[in-house]
Amino acid sequence: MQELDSLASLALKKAEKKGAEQVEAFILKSHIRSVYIEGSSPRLTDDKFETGLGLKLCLGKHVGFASGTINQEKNVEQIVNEAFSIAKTPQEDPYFRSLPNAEKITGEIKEAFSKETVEIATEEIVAKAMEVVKGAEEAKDVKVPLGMLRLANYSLYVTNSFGIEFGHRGTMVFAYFTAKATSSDKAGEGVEREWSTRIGTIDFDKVGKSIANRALATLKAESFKGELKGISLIDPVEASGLLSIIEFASSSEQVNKGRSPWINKLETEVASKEFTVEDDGRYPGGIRSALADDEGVQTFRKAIIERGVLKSYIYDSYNAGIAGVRATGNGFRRGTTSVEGSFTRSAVCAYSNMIIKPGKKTPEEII
Amino acid sequence: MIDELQKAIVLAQKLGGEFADARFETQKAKQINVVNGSIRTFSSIERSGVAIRVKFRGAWGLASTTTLTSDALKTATRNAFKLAKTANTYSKEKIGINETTFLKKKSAAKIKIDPENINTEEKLKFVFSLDEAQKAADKRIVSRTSNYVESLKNFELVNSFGSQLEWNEIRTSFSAMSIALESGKREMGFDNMGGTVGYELVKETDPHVFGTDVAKGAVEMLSAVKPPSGLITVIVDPDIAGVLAHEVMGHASEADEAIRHRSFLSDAIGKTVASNLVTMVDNGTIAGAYGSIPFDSEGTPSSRTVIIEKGVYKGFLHSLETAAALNSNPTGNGRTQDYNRRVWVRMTNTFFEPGNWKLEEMISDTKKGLLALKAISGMEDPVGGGFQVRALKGYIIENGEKKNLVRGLSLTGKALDILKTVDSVGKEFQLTPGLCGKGEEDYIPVTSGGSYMRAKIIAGGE
Repeated sequence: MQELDSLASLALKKAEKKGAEQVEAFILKSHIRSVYIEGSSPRLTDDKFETGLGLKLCLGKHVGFASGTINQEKNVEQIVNEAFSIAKTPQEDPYFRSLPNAEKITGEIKEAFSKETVEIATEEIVAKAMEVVKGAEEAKDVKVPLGMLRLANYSLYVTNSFGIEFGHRGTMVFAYFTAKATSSDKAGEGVEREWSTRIGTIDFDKVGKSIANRALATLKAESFKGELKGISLIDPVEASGLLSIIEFASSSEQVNKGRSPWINKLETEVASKEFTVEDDGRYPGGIRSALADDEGVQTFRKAIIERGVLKSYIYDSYNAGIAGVRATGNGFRRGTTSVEGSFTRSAVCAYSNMIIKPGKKTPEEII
Repeated sequence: MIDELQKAIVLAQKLGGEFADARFETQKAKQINVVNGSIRTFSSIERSGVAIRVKFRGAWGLASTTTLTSDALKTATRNAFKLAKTANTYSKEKIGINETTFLKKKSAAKIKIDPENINTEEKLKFVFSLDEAQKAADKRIVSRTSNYVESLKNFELVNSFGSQLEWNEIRTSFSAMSIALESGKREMGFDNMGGTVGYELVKETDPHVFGTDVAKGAVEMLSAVKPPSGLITVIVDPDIAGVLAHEVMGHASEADEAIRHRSFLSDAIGKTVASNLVTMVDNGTIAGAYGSIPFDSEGTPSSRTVIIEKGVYKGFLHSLETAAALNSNPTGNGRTQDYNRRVWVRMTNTFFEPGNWKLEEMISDTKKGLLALKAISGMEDPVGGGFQVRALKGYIIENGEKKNLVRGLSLTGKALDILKTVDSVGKEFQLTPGLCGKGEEDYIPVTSGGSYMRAKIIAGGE
């Protein structure tokens, strides 16, 4: 197998030689390892390798995208030919402006890749997952019926006809565990998800204790009766659910499609003055942190909502072209819990690491 | 590839694997997405990979690769065995697999028109027709999205029981979504169709009618009023009934959840869980349905499994492993998203069987209530058995007549409380295609549905 950059360059050259005016080649190579806990013990461990190419090819405003797994040069040729046949269709995309231009990418990225996460033995991954089980089951009448710990080690490379040549190596750790607490007449479940780029940052014993406490707390809960009116206090995990609404509303794709409720709302108040949200493509240890997004456009930190006022939409290159502004480094293919298969998607407008800025009060003070 | 897969099985057994299977998958798909009159995405995917799974005492090892050489498969096999041994270190009990009769079969998808034989221009014309119909329907339509997807999956599977299977699955689907805007108010219309069918699905559809109906649905919602709230008599349509069947009763009937005691139905077999008008099944053999499969990802033929029969809970859906654990038969529900994902117990086509009532009779028989139509989101809750769905729209029913249109309708309650109050089930039957995740990932094609059903449900909305 050739290196990713040479395979991507090969795809680019082949497409340009056939007459493509603009080409973008994205290659992702992933190695994923997981352990699944079922009934308090490891039930399955896996180990998965995948390499694939996604190729966007433009003939004027006729755009084609083809993708596939690659293990030999022949596959690259097939993908180029397929993208060409798609781009040759009569319908053009009148909104397509251009693939992004190359720009000097500066700065550094912290904690996006962890050697420890790559080198950790499968035995140790299993042991980490069992730390959660042990931590949870120290509590009386608590069991861990289901859990999963996944480690991804990936390399991506994106290049285009305008000089973009960007490579990134990252690691991703995703954990999902549930605990079940039982009493004589009740059962309750506690769930926790953990994301990191480094296995060493997750305290697995603490995760175990946390899911146990959540499960035990639900045993004490009473059914809600009456009308839901007044003030609600939302914990950070549940508050992150709000971000998907903000992502939708601030996405330039949704703005351009006429779907966002925040069309023409820049510099207007869309939330309480206590509310500030940032998107930071370089957040240390952020799951999507990289010097550039999956189109090779430089990432940076920007305010989406500042003290309740909508300050910016997020842009991938396609939607930035329609709006006549610069892309904000928000063109992504990678998922947030895993990366395999990312090459099958063209980059879409998505947040990098979206963060609700903390306020000054503790939960106790708010209560 | 079959020969290479056989070699992998022989190697797995030689290493000490007690059971092994090897699956080669090729997936080809094309997708066309038209937004507001222009082509937004036209893409093609072709992925191939091999997944090798080995069982050793109390654990499984799974290795997959997209490098399709003999050496890569040998490495993957050794790796899978090693992974199983590693996981087994902590296992307290042995995984049982009951040996089944081995199968040697080849099965080809039964379709009328292979989408690959239709030229691209015709497919584009269809999607643009969906878009144009929405645009022409009303000036208040401000956003239009139309999609077409075709997919072909080829499978080769061998296992250590001696099974050797080759089959393919072809699916075709399309959808349209309109947003209407008036006086700052935005409302949505949506519909989709899909099946294990070929391009005949498109040929049999009038894109003008389909697109116009979707757009008119969005415009109609602009005049909708706030729904009433409280415990109300609700007639749900087959789509919403399907959410109840799939998200709550279906996920809770996946035997792996029941074994882990993560299902509120773990101890329900033989108990009355619904009114005697309710019968619910999972059936992976329905010709043309989007969730149908000839074999599951373990090589078990798909089947019809009765989950609830006349109100009595009958049983779970099984993989090879859960069938052995619960001394039952595998039901062909061991499914995986692709070669990169593990097998879980999953649904296929899950629905309530139809009854004897016409919808008009159900409405005229309702003094005060709601008719709820088209689910736009639903929550999976196998643990708690809670039903939560957001309906696109509904109608207030007063004295046996449909009255005001309502929007933003939420329906909630405990599934068993709802099912025990079902007092009429309709004749009309419909399945809705979609993708189902286990938790938050591992998406597979399924359908859910049923008939119009009337029950007491907690309703509310904005």
